[in-house]
This record gives sequence, C-alpha cells and structure tokens, in this order.
Amino acid sequence: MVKDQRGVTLIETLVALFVIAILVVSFASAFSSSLISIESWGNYYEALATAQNLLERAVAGEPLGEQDGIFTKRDVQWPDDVVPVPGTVITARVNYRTRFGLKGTVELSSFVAD
Amino acid sequence: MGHEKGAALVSVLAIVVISLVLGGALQRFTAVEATQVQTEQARSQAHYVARSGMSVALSYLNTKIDQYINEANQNGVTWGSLDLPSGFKGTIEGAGRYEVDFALDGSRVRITVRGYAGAVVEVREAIAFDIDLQPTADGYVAIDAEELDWYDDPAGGTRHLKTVQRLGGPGKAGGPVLLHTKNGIQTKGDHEFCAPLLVFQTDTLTVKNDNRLLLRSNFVSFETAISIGQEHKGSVLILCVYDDNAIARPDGNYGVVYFDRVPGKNKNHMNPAIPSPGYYLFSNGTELWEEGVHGTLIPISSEYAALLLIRLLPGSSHFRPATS
Repeated sequence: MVKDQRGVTLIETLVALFVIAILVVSFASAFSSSLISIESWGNYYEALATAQNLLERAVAGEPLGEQDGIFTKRDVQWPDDVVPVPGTVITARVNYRTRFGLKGTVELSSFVAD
Repeated sequence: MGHEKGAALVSVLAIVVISLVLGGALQRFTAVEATQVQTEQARSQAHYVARSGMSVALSYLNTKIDQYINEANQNGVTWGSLDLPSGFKGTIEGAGRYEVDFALDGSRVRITVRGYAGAVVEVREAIAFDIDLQPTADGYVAIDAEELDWYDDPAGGTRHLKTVQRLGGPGKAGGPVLLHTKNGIQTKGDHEFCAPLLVFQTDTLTVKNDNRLLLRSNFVSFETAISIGQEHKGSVLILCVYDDNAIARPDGNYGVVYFDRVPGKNKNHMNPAIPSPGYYLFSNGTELWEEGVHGTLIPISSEYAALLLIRLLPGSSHFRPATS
C-alpha cells in the first residue's frame, strides 16, 4: 500500500511539474506577447494624439509642411451638385512602431473650405 | 492516504484552470484593446470628416448669402430666400463621408453634420451649429470693455471713453466687445476702437462737440440712443470695416450696423438718414453727423443681418457636439 502510494505520488508530481512547466512557458509567452501588444497600442495612441494635435494646428492655419507630417491637396466639394466649394484636404501622417518592430502609420484628414 | 492522491491531482487541475482563465483574460484584454484602438482612430477621423462637412456647409451658405449682397433691396431677404436644400452629402477621399442637414425650427436654423469613418467598424460623429435668425450679437460677446480698460472713469456714473492719446493708440480687441454701462457713455476727445464686433448697451452714447469717435468693426450694434454734437463743431461718428471678412461689393467693403434711436438736431425728430430702428449695411468710412450721413447705408432685414453675422464673424469656437 505504502509503496504504491509513493510511486503514484512521484508520477503525479512529475506529470504535474511537466504540465506546470508547459503552462508557465505558454503563459509567460502569452503575457510577454500581451505586454508587447500593450506597448504597441501605447505607441499607437501616442501617434494618434500627435496626429490630432498636428491636424488641429494645420487647420488653424499654422504653416506646417511635409517635414512636420502635414500633407495638403487641393480639392473641390460639390454640395447639392450645383455650387462648387473649393478648399484643401489637410492630412496629418504620423508613424509609430508596431509589435514586431514594423512601421505603422496613423492618418487623419480634414477638408477646409477656402 | 486516498486524500493525498486527490490533493495532488486537484492542485494540478486548479493551477491549470487558473492559468487558462488568466491567459484567456489576457488575450481577451488584448483583443478588446485592439478593437478600441481601431474605433478610437475611426471616431477621431469621423469627427474631422464632420468638421469638413461643416466647413463645406458654411462656405456653401456664405455663397448663397452673397447672392443677395449686391441687390438694391435686401429688406426682404429671409432664410427661405436662400432656397437651400434640406441637406446634402459629400465624401473626403480616403477619410470618410459626411451628411449635412439644415433644419429650420422657429427662428433658429440648426446645421447638423454627421461624419462617418472606419474601414472595419464604421463610426459616426455629429456636430451642430445654430444660427439664431433674431439678432444674436450677445451670443458672440466675450469681452467687456471694462476688462480692456477702455473707460476713463470708474463704474457708477456716466462713463467716458479713453482717448487715443490716453490709450497710446487705438483700443484693440481680437474678439467681440461689449460696452455695457447703466448711465450712458460719452466721448472726451478723439477715440478709436477696433474689434470684429462692437455692442453698445447703455442709455445714451454721446459724441460731444469737437469729438470724433472712430469704430473699426464688421458688425456694430448700437442698442442705445446716439446723440451727436453740432456738425459745425466737428462732432462725428465714423464706421470703418475691421478686416477682410467684411462684405465686398463692387463699390467697396461693407459692414453691418444696427441703430436703435438716432435723434437729429431737433431732438424730437430722428436723424433723416436713419428714420427708424433697424439693420443697415454701411460702406467703409461712413460718417454719421448730427443731421445726416456721409457714406452709404443700405437697410437690410434682421434675418439677413443674422445670416451675415456668421459670415462676418467666422469661428470654429461656436461648434459644439450635436445633442441629436
């Protein structure tokens, strides 16, 4: 009885250790992956805030250019298909680092009538 | 002894379950965060698309308003005269689309713009702009002349305006200004004040003999009686436009002025150029004397004056989130 009990406990312990090891490795991997994701989203939010700031300043008339991340393009809107409304599409473009070290881009655009 | 075997198994199972729950939660958290980020950018873009639509709507509205600028009789111009559609749609390439609605509710027009953006999940953001078709100068007033130190004496009795010499130059303000006193405002020499909008709310505005009051503004509202000294003594009130947002007509730039009461030489009669209260377009440099006007005053309806106000005082600060 005693012998059997010790043998089963040893096997159980080994199995348990094996299972726990697998779990710890997977859990650590998932946790690390999530941390990287969170850092990536942090970069993303920062880029979004920067793009908003840049676009607000450009729309307000601050002279910003491509070196600042502001791109402009002439455009015409046609409300009611009758009266043309000429203006400029202003785009703020900000790059950020994604989870695998790749480059992501946040873009926000607004049309400003002349 | 049977319990010892179970304890090991139960412990392992418990750890497995806890780990799975934690791992699942972490993955779920990451997935939710990803969705939130995508939605956040779409929301931000939808807001800017809505603002784009508002910019188009106001420009379109100004074009319609301008169609009446050169008409000889602008007294009958109303919101209905503009013949606007109930709304229109547009697209900002690569950003999103917008829908504009014009809704007349009594004496108020509400322009509502809905912006849509988002490749995965489409998000809607709405903004609104109200135009009160009754005179709305008060709604724009932000600065009290008291804060600008434009008066020469303390509050209480009649207020005297500070002269150009006392101010060391013209009194200037970048925003609308309210000159509000209880017992009247008087000149005390030569004065010059510049602001996009000037509102006089007092008992009487008096331009005394030998005094000159020059106002540079696109919209002046005299919610007061105006008393001007003798013409041969050089008393004069001069109205000039403030900036390029003024109304351009073939014969020059114009602003808008509201007169309440302007008595003439005989105080029982009105100045012949302004026989009754109302809104007028004034030509740049219009001079108001005791018995007449040098310059051009064109009567306009109060509704048209209200519409011109948004043209004369453009500013995104009046946008606010739509409530519906």
